[in-house]
Amino acid sequence: MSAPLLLIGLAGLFAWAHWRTRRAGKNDRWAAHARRLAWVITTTLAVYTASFFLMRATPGGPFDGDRALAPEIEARLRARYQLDRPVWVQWWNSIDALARLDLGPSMVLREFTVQEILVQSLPTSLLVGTAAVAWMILIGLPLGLLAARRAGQWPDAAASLVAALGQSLPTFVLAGLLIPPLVFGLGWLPAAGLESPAGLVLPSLCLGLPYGAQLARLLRAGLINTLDQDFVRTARAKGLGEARVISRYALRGALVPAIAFLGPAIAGILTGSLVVENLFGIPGLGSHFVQGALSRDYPLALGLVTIYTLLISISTWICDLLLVALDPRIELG
Amino acid sequence: MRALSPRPRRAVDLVARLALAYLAGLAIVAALAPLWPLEDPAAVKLPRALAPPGSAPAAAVLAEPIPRTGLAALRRRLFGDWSIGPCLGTDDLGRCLLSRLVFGARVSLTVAALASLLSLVLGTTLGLLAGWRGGAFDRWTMRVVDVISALPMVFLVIFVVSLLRGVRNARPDMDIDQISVLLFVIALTSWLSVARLVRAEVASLKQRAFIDAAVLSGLSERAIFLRHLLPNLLPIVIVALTLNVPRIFLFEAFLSFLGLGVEAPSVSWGLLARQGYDSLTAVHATWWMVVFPAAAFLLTLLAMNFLGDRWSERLDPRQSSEPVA
Amino acid sequence: MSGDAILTLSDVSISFARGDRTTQAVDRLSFAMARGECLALVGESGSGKSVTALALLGLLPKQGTRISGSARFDGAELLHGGAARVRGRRIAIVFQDPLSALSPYHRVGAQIAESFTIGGVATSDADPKVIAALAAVDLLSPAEVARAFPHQLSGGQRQRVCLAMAMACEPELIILDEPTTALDVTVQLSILDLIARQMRARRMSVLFITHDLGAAASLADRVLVLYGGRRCEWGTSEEVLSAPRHPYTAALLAALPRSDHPSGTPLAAIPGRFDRSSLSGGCAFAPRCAVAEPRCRESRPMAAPSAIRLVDCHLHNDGGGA
Repeated sequence: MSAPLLLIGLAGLFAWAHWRTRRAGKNDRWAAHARRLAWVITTTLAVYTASFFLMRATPGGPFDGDRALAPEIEARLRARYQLDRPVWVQWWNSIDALARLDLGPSMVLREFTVQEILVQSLPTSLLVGTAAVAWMILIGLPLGLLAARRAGQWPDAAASLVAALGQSLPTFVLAGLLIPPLVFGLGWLPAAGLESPAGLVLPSLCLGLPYGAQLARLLRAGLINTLDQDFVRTARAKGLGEARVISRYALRGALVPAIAFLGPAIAGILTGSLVVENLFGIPGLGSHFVQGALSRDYPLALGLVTIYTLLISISTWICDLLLVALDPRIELG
Repeated sequence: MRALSPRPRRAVDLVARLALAYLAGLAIVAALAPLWPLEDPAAVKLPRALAPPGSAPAAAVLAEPIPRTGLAALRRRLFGDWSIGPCLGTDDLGRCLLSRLVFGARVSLTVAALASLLSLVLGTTLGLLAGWRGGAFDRWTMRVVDVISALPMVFLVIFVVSLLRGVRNARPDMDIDQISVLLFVIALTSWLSVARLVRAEVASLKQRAFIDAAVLSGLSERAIFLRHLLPNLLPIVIVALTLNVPRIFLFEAFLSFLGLGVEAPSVSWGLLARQGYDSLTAVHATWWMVVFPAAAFLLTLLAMNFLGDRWSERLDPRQSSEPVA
Repeated sequence: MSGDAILTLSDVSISFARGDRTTQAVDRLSFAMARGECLALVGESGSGKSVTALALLGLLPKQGTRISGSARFDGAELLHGGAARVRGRRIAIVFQDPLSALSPYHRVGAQIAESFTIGGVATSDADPKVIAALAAVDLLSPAEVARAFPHQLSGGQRQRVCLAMAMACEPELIILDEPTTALDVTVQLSILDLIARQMRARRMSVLFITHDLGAAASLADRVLVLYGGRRCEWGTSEEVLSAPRHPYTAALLAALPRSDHPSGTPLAAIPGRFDRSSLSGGCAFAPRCAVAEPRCRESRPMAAPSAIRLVDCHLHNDGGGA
């Protein structure tokens, strides 16, 4: 019985956070973390539950393919996936399984359970996602710095133009434009697969570039704004060199909006990974999710929605932590 | 784009006007799509498959049955059987790419416009009520908004779309229109930011002296709402709209590209981008199927983004990143 | 002027070009300041006091700013890029708003420690020095303050931190740019008191920028009155503030509320307001001056250099003044 344990633990977490807040005051860090963790679990359970009932409430399923199955085979399949029990029993059992991190068997890839698919594909997706974030920073940071330092001059105009173009070229359009020259023309990069490190370049670039462009614009605006602030003037008055003034003071202020953007950017990169993994034949979460959705493999899609909820909640949590570390005036909510 | 500064204001305004003109032109071309002398976007003509721009002969237009009223009939009266022909090339089934782009714009822009409008109405209503009423209603509405915006909406939407396809497969009698479903689902996920913006604006307007003055002069709540609140909300609502339209436009394209949005025989730009992508092989150089949809996306998103930035900059000059000294 | 001058400005002009409009912020300003003295730069907002201070430290934005003339600090030119070598080492500055002048992202101690590093002292032994510096500005629990972020301190505490930061490198000249304007009246007094004590103890030269004549009187040895970016009057604070010779200084002093007037006496005000566009070849104050003559609008008065008292006014200069 894992589900009751999970629910009791969740309630305990909320209670502890409440107790801690009353004892240690509103700004207590541990209470904030406990509450945050409890909300992450609650959100995940809520998304799972809502998706579960939506799924059960709609007619149609993976078995009504072109070819009608024999009634006894279908009955056996339904029994195997527990589709013959009352809905709320199914839900309780699935929550129970979820608490043991068991997401059940996939309905289309029948040899695999959902968590087997997850274990295989999560590292791949994380690799692509990390590479995309790296591209985003690699493109956004220098471009934004250059534009802000030379504000109003031609490097600024050029960098801003690149940023504007990048922002208006969605991942799926970018892929179509980059593949012909880089893959077919010059033959530098493979068209699909992750067998070699070179295979990682194009998918992550397509994924990261639009966000790099937005990051550049945010950094430019933020840096121009902070360079104009009094504490930067104080730093200069102290006799600090220009490099130190920028790296230690101005950039710090400009990074706050940039880090605040990181949360939505990671969510966006996760979304974009659906396209990129689908296009480049990368066996990650995204391609499985799209496949699951197209073939109506509900347990797989459900499991992946749950995982995505967790991933996004955790990444926003980390971004909030970064923000707090970066700007002491921000408090953990 | 507040980028490219500091330029003379006039240059910025010229670009903004160009962007607006482009979008308006695109909207008119798309809305009146059946009027133009274009081929049928769905007419398959295998012999001229994958013809590069301008090389294939125009096919005779013989839409059957010949419509008696509407734009298509007018087109027949104006142009007869004549059509521009596939001057942007044809796809793998020999269909005219230009015509598909125009008809695709029709679907893409309709979804973007209607879904934004719907989300605007929903978000404005809730934001207005929450901001005006305040108190518990406000707290709970905004709580709900916060909770919903923490959800991975894109994935939920894809999940819902796949469920609906299941429904359609299982019950063909229910006659679910994929495009309207898409429209509603997208609208339901994009009203949150509108509600937030409007609520914040109403809450701050409520504090202003002219609202107090209106209340003191004995104006009815309804009159205050209509005469004082709504006109002052217009700018922020337009900001919300300019932020939402490109986002929704992209979302539809994204879903269609994945095969989860608009389906054949309808065309949308996302679908065209997918087709172009799928046509890419080392053997054929079907560049036109990639470049023209990409250019369409680029121009349209550039125009939308530029107008959005320009409008929010005009509302809040402090946000403008022009160097101060 | 005096051979022992630590700072000498001659004919310093500063203008800002924005688009096709040029604003003359400081117009041919000349003065000298002796080592160890406190000179108050007095004037209303827009008179060019703060701009002068920023220019001396090379902190004005480069784009659109035009600076001419010469400002020598201990013989070395400050303008045109020379300030970068001495600022933070030999010249320090305290700004008006201590909240925005301190970085919100760094602990107070770290911000002060940085000044020590610049002075050539390694950071490793900076910590006890930081606490000593904070204790020197009368902060009650310096160790706690060193660990705090600026937003956790009060306004007075913040300005003390700024003072500690400015004095950390033992500068020869410290510029105080309206250091008490953003503070409560009671805090103002204690900060002024602190400045006076530190000034004497460390034998620093102080350029004290203020619009508060009372503060100037309490702190300064000499006073320089500015109007519209131009010098009006220069002399010892006693002379200037008790026997003003320039009509502007006189009007300013007359506008002060006084305790020896019976209550109910209306405050004297200077008619009109400063209008940069009315600046012409004549005296800057002429449009508002009660005793202006036609020549005041035509030619600009310039006092002949003298070691005791400078009054830039036609009426004074031919009246056989100083």
